[in-house]
Amino acid sequence: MSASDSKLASPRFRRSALLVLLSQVFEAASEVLRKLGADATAATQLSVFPQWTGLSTLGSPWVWAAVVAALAAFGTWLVALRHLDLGVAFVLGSVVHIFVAAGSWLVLGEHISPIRAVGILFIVAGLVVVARSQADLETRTERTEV
Amino acid sequence: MSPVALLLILLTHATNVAGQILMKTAVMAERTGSRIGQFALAIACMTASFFLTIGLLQRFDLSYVYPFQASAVIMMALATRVFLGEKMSRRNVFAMAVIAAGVALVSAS
Repeated sequence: MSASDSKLASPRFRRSALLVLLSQVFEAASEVLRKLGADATAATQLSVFPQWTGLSTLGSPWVWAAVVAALAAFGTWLVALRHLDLGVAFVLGSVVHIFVAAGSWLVLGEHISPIRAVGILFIVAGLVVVARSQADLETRTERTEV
Repeated sequence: MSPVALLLILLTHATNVAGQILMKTAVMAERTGSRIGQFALAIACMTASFFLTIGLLQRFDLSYVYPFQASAVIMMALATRVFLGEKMSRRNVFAMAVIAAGVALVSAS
């Protein structure tokens, strides 16, 4: 087993990787909750704020739940980064696009056309390539420092 | 998509990227005064991005708006090339093209 394999198999790595995935679940939940808040207040014309600012949704409990979910996502992401390289975290984090698409379909009942699904898969693939090259750069920097 | 909606999407990501950069400079700042100022500005940018997104979600599907976030990666890469002179590897240029194709497919859906 190589050094990198043993690093990937360590309980600390697995725990941190799970935390990254959990943070992305919170992030996707925050997006879905924001959409629920946006839909619930879309017909409200009483707000003094222009619609495009999004501030007319402040009265919606969904939006405040979205704020809590976003803070949970930020907190778990920071904890995970204590024991995980940013490049690796970024690769795992790109799964959020799949989570958001799944949430849009399952919770919000949105229709995801084949073109949109392929577009999302292209985005995830591109992000994984960028993140892997970032991870390689970090590994080379670590070796140079050692 | 209307030009105004496209402008709002770009503004949403620009405020988010500005918030991320300010958060990083706040963490690295040596003086407490400038650290607090940058941190407050970062929170303001991220809050603006948060609510601008909700404004977009009142008009569009979440599965349509969210993938545009990936275009921030391209914006960041172009900005570092233009302003910092950083070179991009062939692999990253290829990845950016794949992401751009993905965003184009979603916007056409």
